[in-house]
Amino acid sequence: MKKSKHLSSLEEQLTRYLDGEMSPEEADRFEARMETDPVLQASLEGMARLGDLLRAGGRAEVSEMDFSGFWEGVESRIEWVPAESARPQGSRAGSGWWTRVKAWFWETSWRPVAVGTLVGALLLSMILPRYLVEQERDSGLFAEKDPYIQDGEIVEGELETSSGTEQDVVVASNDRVVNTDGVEVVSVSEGASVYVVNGATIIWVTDEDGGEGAAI
Amino acid sequence: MITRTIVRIAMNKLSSVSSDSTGGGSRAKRRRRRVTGVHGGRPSPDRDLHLVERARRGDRNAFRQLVLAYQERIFVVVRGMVRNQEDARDIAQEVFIKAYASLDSFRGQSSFYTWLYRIAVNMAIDFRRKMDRKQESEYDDRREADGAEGAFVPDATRLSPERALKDKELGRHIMAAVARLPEEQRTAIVLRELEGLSYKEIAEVMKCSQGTVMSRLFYGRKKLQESLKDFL
Repeated sequence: MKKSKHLSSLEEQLTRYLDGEMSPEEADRFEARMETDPVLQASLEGMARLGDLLRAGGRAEVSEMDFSGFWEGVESRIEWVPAESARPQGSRAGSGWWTRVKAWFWETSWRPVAVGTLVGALLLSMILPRYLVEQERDSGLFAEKDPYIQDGEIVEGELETSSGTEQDVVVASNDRVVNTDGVEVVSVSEGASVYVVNGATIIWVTDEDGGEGAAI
Repeated sequence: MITRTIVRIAMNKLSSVSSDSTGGGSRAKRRRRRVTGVHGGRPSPDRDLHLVERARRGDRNAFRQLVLAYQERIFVVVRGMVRNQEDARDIAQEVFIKAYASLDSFRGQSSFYTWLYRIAVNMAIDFRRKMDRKQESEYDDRREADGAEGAFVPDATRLSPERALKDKELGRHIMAAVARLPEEQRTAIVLRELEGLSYKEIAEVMKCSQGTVMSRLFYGRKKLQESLKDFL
């Protein structure tokens, strides 16, 4: 405890002893000192009697006071106050669910669990999409080395085609790329290649370098 | 003088009864006991938290239980701060009304009763300052007529020690002495002597250090010893 700068050491000890704020060991030492110091003992007795007197006064006041109707007075006053200010703030119109959630969060003993759950959910939301894509690729929909389109660009692997031959190629559809056998390659040029897949014509437009492209 | 002597005998009897109930021992050791204030028991923080949660959800009966549990304590705190019983009762009711409206601001970082005491102390101080600013001497004359030191003349012929202890005029006289203390000393004395709060709890309510609490208690007691010396 920070020592009061206004009290002498003896005054501080006397006050702390009187109020039961000393450890048993400190109290033992203080009592030993008091046994040889009648002035100190008289000071303590005087303060203790004062405490008894004050509490007697407090009890007299309470015993005299009639508390019947006290609660009813409180209850009726709460009803008199407009609901917006009498009710807890969290239930006021307009303060909404967020205030109640915040109030619950600060009061609940489950706060660590709530924080853990929130962090876990956040991490899961970051990891799960990547995991699902990996699963999808591993399931065969995507071949290991096949290129696929991400953010409008082809990544992983390369397109290798030659005009007039039938081979496995990669066809882009809805930003995804799948292996398709037996695709007829109509023409391949630097700017664009033309394929026919199941009767549908696919025009593959490459960029200026001719290395990457997209289906249109 | 006869009256004062009888009251002093009554107080000594109270002291001896209290001491005997603790099992005897040296005079000094008899004083090493837990002072629990006027009410003789300690609040139950766990029960309070449960009731607060229910009250917050709109359970009015839960709030009623809190009021019943603390109405006397809050009354005593306020009574020690203001000048008369009627005002103290009104303010005590206001304390609970304000507490109900502010339940959402109770964070549970301190116990409910120290939070409630803080509301009570602040409201009583506000009221007292307002009254002091008005400087209504008529108000004081009217309200404190019974509590003024000079007016304390109980009927000695009907006073047994027990009756004397219960005498409302004795209580008012003591409370009037407490009410004359400086605000901060008065608050510390009321919370410690009448409510039995620890230094830590008083420091929470008064938002000061425990050393400051100790200092206020010491000097407050010195002043009370002087003003109540006829009863000690």
